[in-house]
Amino acid sequence: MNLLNSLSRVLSNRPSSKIDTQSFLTPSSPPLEQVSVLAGGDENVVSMKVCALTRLRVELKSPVSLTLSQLPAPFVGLLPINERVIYLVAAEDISHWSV
Amino acid sequence: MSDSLLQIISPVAGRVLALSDIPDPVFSEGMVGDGCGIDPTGQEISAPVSGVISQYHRCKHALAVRHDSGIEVLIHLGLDTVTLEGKGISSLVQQGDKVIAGQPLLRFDADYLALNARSLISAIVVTNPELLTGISVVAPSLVESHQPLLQLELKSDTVINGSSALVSEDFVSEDLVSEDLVSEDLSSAMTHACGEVCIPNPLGLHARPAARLSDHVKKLGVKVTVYKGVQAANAASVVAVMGLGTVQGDRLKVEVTGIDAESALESILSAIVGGLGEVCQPVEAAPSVTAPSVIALEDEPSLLRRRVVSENQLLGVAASAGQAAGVIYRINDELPDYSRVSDDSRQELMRLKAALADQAMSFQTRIIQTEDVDQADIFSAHLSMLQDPDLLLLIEQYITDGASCEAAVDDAFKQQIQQLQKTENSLLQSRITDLVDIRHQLLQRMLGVDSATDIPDETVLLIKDLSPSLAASLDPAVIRGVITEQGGAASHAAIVMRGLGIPMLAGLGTQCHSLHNGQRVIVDGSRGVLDIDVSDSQLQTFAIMQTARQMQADRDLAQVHEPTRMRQGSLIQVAANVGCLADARQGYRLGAEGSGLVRTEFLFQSQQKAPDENQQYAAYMELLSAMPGQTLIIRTLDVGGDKPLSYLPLPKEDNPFLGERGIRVGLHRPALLRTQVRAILRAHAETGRCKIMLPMISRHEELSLSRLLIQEEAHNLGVMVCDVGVMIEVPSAAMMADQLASQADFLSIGSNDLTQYVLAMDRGHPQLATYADGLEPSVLRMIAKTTEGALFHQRWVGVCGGLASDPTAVPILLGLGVTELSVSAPALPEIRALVRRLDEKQCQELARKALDASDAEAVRALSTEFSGSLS
Repeated sequence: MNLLNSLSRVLSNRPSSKIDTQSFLTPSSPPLEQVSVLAGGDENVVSMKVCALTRLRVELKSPVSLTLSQLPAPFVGLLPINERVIYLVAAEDISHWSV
Repeated sequence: MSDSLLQIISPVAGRVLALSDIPDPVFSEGMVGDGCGIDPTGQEISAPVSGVISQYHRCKHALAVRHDSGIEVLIHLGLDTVTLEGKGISSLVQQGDKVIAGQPLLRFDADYLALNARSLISAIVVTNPELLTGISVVAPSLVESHQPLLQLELKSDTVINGSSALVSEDFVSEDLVSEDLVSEDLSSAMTHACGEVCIPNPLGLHARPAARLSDHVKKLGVKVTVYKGVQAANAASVVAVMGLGTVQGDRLKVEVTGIDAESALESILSAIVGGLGEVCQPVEAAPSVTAPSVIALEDEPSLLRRRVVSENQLLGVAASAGQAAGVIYRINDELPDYSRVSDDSRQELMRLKAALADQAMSFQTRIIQTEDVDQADIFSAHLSMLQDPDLLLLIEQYITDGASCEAAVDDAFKQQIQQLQKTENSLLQSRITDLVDIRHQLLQRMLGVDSATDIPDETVLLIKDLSPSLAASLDPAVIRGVITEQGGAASHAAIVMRGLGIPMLAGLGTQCHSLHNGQRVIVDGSRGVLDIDVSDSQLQTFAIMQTARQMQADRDLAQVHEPTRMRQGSLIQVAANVGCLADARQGYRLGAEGSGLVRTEFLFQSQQKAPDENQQYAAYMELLSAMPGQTLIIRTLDVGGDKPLSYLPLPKEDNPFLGERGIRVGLHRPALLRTQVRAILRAHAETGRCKIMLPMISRHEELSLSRLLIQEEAHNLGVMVCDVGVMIEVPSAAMMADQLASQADFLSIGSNDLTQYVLAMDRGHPQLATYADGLEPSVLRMIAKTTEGALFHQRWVGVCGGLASDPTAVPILLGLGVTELSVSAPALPEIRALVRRLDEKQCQELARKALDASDAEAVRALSTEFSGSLS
């Protein structure tokens, strides 16, 4: 977190596209545990992967029922691919998350 | 100035971003135009506004819709998606198509894009904001598809003059040049310059470099036209430049008009050579003339096709057995042009209602009139699809929005088809053909087209692809046979043709193009051969042979209940393949000695959920009752690949035939396998007449695990274990037959799959199916390896695939040591009679020669010669 804060101070003076700057200025603490609980617990989560800047790909062993209102911030969208793969869409760049 | 508003609806659901928040300066800095971004939570892009598809990038990720007002809306799906070169994206429209707001334009695999592209954040941008006085985002932060997204305030002259005044059709827009540049005062300073440049960008001038070029040109304040061959584009227009569809190495001609055109040209050429913001390597220009060698390759017919039996024979896929002579009659199933718009939606809705009622009546009549259960099922399914409330609602919506009845039906069905395409359920996807068929019938009805009228007698119908509905409408008294350019043996149409007893040859491909009306042909739907331009003497011979075949069939039928012994007395069991209760009854009537293959998929298909143990037990007992005193070899569920189930989600696989199918499905879902095994064991405990057969065993462990499961369930039920056999369908099983036979009670060769896997040829492939012949020596050597392995452990070997029903193959199979043949029920009399005429030693000699032959043709020649010597 300290490193990110330092970086944000440096980067705030640098011209950059807005979303990049935002992601460093307001870094989110990855709510991965909450996601795991919503996904039926660690034993039901085959894998999690951050991709496409704003997406968390969650692969499940068995299907779970999820609604938008259950999602922790910064997630604001949900895209089920099939019964076992869902994407949580974040309102910010989460590509720096370590999953 | 502004006096009119235009609303843009959201092309996809998702999170709305300000244009400036799109993490790509080409969009965020407004180089492409003005609008917003969406991070999608859907997988379909629909038209944000009614209009014409003015541009569609070859990589499918970017397209533009031009409204009647001249406003052009670009949708750029994701960031850096151009690098995917279209993979993961399906186009639903083409450049030039008229579309209605909300109409699906493309569908994308969000999973694939997320895993392979930088981002899915998509730009929705008006590329000619100079036609606007204002633009505002009116959507909430999370927008649904088709919800209002942007509100545009149009300049009054935009509305009055329309597109013709402001945006030229060829994308070379004079008015995009500043008025100042062409004013009288400055005309004397105007100069003209022209140059050429080679595009270094690996993916051509896609959105980013096109936007950079546009930005550069606008800053220079000159008029620039770029030419790719005869195509021209205004370089200030991102969409027009993208629309050139350039690729790396293309040579562009650049024309500049304006003040100090020479230096502007130099600057532009330098920017293009520099990659327009992309890192590029210098490239050689593509040759201006297409390499002639490519044309030559495309024009030269396939060498494989030359392996036709003779000049007057064409090979196709044997789709419905039997032989017929007749005259070619080609049906053109194409629809006439129709208007896509109507200003009388009430009238269109009435037409729709009438057409739907007529079509429903047609399906109901077919369901009532047909005696074939399969056909009735197909048309019941068609009726349900026709009456689908969502589909009807969609059609009505399109009509209300101004579409004609025909266009509404066409678009709504297309949308449903696209929804099926996006599912990962192969079974649902396989219903696409049915939807296409229903759409076609409805359109034919609305347009007053009837494609199957006035067909002359003794016709061999030639058609590009046969729909199930047209197939069912054919009269066997008139139609002698059918040949199709497309399709295969597994299509619904082929099933209908088999039910009608009409020989059919499918998948002839471009060979059909040489056929013409009136040509005399003989169709052999059993061998997949079409004799063309047959002579009178050939027809006479054919008639004599048909008579002989019929007489032989009558004799064979009279002997169906005699034992099946070869001349030396060896007993060969000839059983029936059973796929439903009717098969079991027919097989018993035609003298089957039990069933060597009960395909249990019939219990699982067309169901909402898997049948429970009691339902399966009852079904097996019913089959056993239909074949009193006889043994049934019941194959456990064989799905996956080409035989999926709607309620059993199987993972999407790049190559399902090499994926989870056969016993692998059961071992991955033991509860499914256990339920079935328990039902079979209970039926066996009661009758003593069941054996279990395991499909697609490829490794020894699969057999040992299955046996263990069967033993556990027998123990749990307190019953005896029945015989357990293994299907030999893959090369690994044949090679390991000796080890498998040590644990199995019998081996049964599934010759269709074995052929497919040995030769690596899809048996339904229109170009390859004719070569996927089970009599290829490579396949026969696998069978020999199997019988050799089984013999080591004193186990018997059967064949339950198509080879067992092929009279040419039977002597060879018996010569290789096969002692059980499980055949399609109608073939029972012929195969049983044939076995009685065979000499064991002669068959062994024939088999030895067949193993040494070079190919299936040579083997068939050997066997034909052998059959001729039989008394």
